[in-house]
Amino acid sequence: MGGLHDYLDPRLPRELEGLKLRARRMVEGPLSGLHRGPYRGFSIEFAEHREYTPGDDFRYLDWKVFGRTDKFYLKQFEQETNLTCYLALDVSQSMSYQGPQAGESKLSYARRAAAALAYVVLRQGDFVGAIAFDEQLRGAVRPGGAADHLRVVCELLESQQPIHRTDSRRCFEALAHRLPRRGIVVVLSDFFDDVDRVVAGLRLLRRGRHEVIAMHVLDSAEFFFPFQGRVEFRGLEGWGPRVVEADALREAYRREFDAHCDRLRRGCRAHGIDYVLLRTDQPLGRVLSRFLAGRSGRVTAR
Amino acid sequence: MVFLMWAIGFGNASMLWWLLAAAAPIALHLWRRPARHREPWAAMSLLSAAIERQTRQARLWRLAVLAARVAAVSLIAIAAAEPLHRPAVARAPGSGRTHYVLVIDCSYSMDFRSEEGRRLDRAVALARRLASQASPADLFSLVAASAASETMVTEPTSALGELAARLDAVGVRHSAFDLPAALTAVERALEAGRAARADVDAQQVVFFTDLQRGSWAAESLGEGLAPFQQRMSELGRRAAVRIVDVAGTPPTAENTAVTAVQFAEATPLVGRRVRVRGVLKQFGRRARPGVGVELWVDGRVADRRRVDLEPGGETAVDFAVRFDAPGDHLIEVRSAPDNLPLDDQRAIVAPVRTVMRVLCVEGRPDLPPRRQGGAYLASALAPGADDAGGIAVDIADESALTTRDLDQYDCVVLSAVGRFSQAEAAGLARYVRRGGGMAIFVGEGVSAERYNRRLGSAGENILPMDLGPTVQQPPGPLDAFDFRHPIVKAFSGRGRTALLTTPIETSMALLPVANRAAEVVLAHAGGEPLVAAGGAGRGRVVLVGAAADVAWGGLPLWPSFVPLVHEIVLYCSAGRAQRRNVLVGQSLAGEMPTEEESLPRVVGPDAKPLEVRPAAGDARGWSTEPARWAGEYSVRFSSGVAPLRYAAALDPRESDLTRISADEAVRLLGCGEAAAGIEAAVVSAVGPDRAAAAAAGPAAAMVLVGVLLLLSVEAWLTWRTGRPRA
Repeated sequence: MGGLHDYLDPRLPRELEGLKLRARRMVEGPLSGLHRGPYRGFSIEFAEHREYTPGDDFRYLDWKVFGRTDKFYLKQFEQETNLTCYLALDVSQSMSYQGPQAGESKLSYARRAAAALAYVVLRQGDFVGAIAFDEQLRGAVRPGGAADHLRVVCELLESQQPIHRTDSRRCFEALAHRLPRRGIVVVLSDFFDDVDRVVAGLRLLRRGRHEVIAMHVLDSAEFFFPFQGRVEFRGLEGWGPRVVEADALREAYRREFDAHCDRLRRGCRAHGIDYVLLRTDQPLGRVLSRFLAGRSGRVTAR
Repeated sequence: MVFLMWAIGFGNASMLWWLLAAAAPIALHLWRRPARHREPWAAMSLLSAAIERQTRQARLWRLAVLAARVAAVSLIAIAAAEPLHRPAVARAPGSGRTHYVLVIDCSYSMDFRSEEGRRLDRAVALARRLASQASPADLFSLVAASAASETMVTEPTSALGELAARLDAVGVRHSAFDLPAALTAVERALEAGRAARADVDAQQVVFFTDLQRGSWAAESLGEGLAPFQQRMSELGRRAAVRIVDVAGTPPTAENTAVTAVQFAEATPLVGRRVRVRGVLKQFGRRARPGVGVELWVDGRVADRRRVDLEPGGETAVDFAVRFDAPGDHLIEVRSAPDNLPLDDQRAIVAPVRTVMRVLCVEGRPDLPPRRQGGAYLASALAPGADDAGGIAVDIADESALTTRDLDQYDCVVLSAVGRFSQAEAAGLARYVRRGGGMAIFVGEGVSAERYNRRLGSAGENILPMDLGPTVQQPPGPLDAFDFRHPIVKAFSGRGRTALLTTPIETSMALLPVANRAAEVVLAHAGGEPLVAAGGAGRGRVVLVGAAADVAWGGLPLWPSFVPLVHEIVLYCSAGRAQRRNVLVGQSLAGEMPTEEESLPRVVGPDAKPLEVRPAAGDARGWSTEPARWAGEYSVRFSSGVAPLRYAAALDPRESDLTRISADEAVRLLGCGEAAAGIEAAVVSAVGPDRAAAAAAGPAAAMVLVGVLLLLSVEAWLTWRTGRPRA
């Protein structure tokens, strides 16, 4: 079984230095932290005023407002909490694909991405949990923030073998019921399932008030279909073999592929789901740092 | 009312078999090639969707490409089959139909090749073109004309395909063009045309020929000219006759031919040096220096020479060859090939013997044996006790003429045989006509009347001359007529030889016979023939008016006796060897061996058997139909006797490529018209309207244009369906 260092490249911490995974919406956490919580209270961040009612704590009366209006108003503050990030990794058989020019399989790349995200979350003092799924949920690690929690997450990622088919909607539905508190759900998958079912599943997670990030992991061969001549393609998830003239089929395949990705992207956008495309031939650190930096920017601007 | 008619035939219908090649693109289309490699794949749902999409769209394109390829291959096959189309031409109702008799000259001069192609090919192409431009209702007969003209289309037909197939089957024959034979075939074809359809209202005879002078000149018909022209005149009243000259230019063609191959020795013997002479003739106006000539023996080159050929002259090339084994040997003389290859070689068969057998029949048993003529003859022919000289002599009395099988002898020499029975005379005549040689020395007791009645003009008529009375000869030199005859040729160049001083005191007169060809070999000083030679059937007979014994002079004691007897015997026996060699058009003939019961099987150079029939009046004789092809023939007997070889050679008449003009040919025929050029021939034959309508272009060209268009479409479709896309 692989260890932590199999997934966390020693250069990755340096590339992710100073970056954080910030929640764009309110999340629920057991501890105070960086992220806005759903509960109003008396903390640091001012939220709104409300009229005084008997029994309220006089410490939060806004005397300046009383001086101008002769009415008692209490200052209310947002509760700041820590983040719980759930990493959902697709371990179906299709994720084992490794193209002829790729250095690793999609699953390996997704494992490394999940480990890097877990590292970032833990480093910023938040909790991270992990779930593996294919046609059902296969294994889970409860959210935690302990120092060795990253190792526990990596062991789960490593332990799952890509031998089953995908059933995205079923898994996401089960996941939505299973996650205890609102947080960020990062789904790492190739999403080679019916797009409507995938989007419907992700939508269930959004309805659970989770913030959802769909990381679409693909091999470059799946992008460009670089094959030539007569090729027999053997499906990884129970599909029968198909012999095709690759050159003649390339255009039709790419049209189908682009349509698939476009529908997925538009479905995610329609339901407030972040869509991130990860290609296994691109450096993971650069892709993640660009994503995290962009996300931090958007959160700050908000 | 106008009838529009359209008909399609094929000039070379056998090429339509190539239509099967159109199955090749279909087979390739259906053939599932193995994949170059296998690839596991995750996005199978997308791939399957792409396949479905691509299949729907591309299937039509691929089928279009396949259809274009199949159509292109099919059209190429159709174009190769030379489609013939008859364009639609207005035709008045009730105008009837024309029956064309196409006469293709198949003589071997039609094999001449020039820059314009082979003459026969031009003739066939032109005939095909004429047929394609005639009306669809018209009928056609086809005659392949040579020495034995052959009607290729027996029943007149309007089917272009059938006519084209028959035209394809027309080939060059190894014989000359024979006008009377062609006329007979034409008359038969015209008769068949009239009998086949009642609505034939016009008949045309079109000759496609190279107009060789040797066949078309009036001299070639000899005495048959007048009846031929009378027949042509009658034919000209029934049908229009046109002559199309297919020889092209130039009018006179150069040609070298091997016109003869012969042995200097009558009977080649094993171990003896034999001289073979090939005769080459240069027809035309130019000399040909340094022409290579080869002697081939049994399929292998035996000797080579180079000779300079003068225009119009004959050049003899002598070779020497020695045979190590008895049997039949094929001797060929070949010259360097020219534009008429058929006559650049000539073959003969040489039956090589271990020994030549001679039967001496002595008619004076009353004389002491050593003084009998037979004894002198035997001593002259075979001086030794054995046959070391190559000649074995048997001496016998007159009874041998009936008791012995004469066919085992190359020559029978009669010495003072006084009389013959009817059976003896018939046996001798049969022997000679089969190719045997006979030399007759007269003498005491010889009855001229009985000779003439049995063997002479009143009997079997095998003697070159009849015998006359016995006369005393005054002393004087003999006359050898400049030693021109082969028998005395050996004495030429030796000055006043002993031959001319031979003392002949008494002799019998030799009397020429009307209508009997004979050559006087040697004559008395007064001009009376002493030795005469002639032929009978395939054999040769030499009649000597002197005795072989000493009763009538000192002939057998004179030095010239030995060579003279040798030459006579060799000359006589040559007939047996010569009958193995015939000209094309002549029959092969021979005798069955005594142990043979059935007729032999004779196979020609084309590997086809010849018809063999018993010879008339000869129980053991056989003969074949006329030989059609030059080359070697094999004769096999069922009893296991060693097969015999025969050879047929070309009649060199057609090797002279001098031609007459079409106008001269018209004058010879006494009717018809000459077409000035091929276009004019077609126009005159089919009429200007049809010729103009057909001038739009041959069907094959249109089909090929279609092929080019299809190939362009196919290339575009292939690019469209298989182009790489970004």
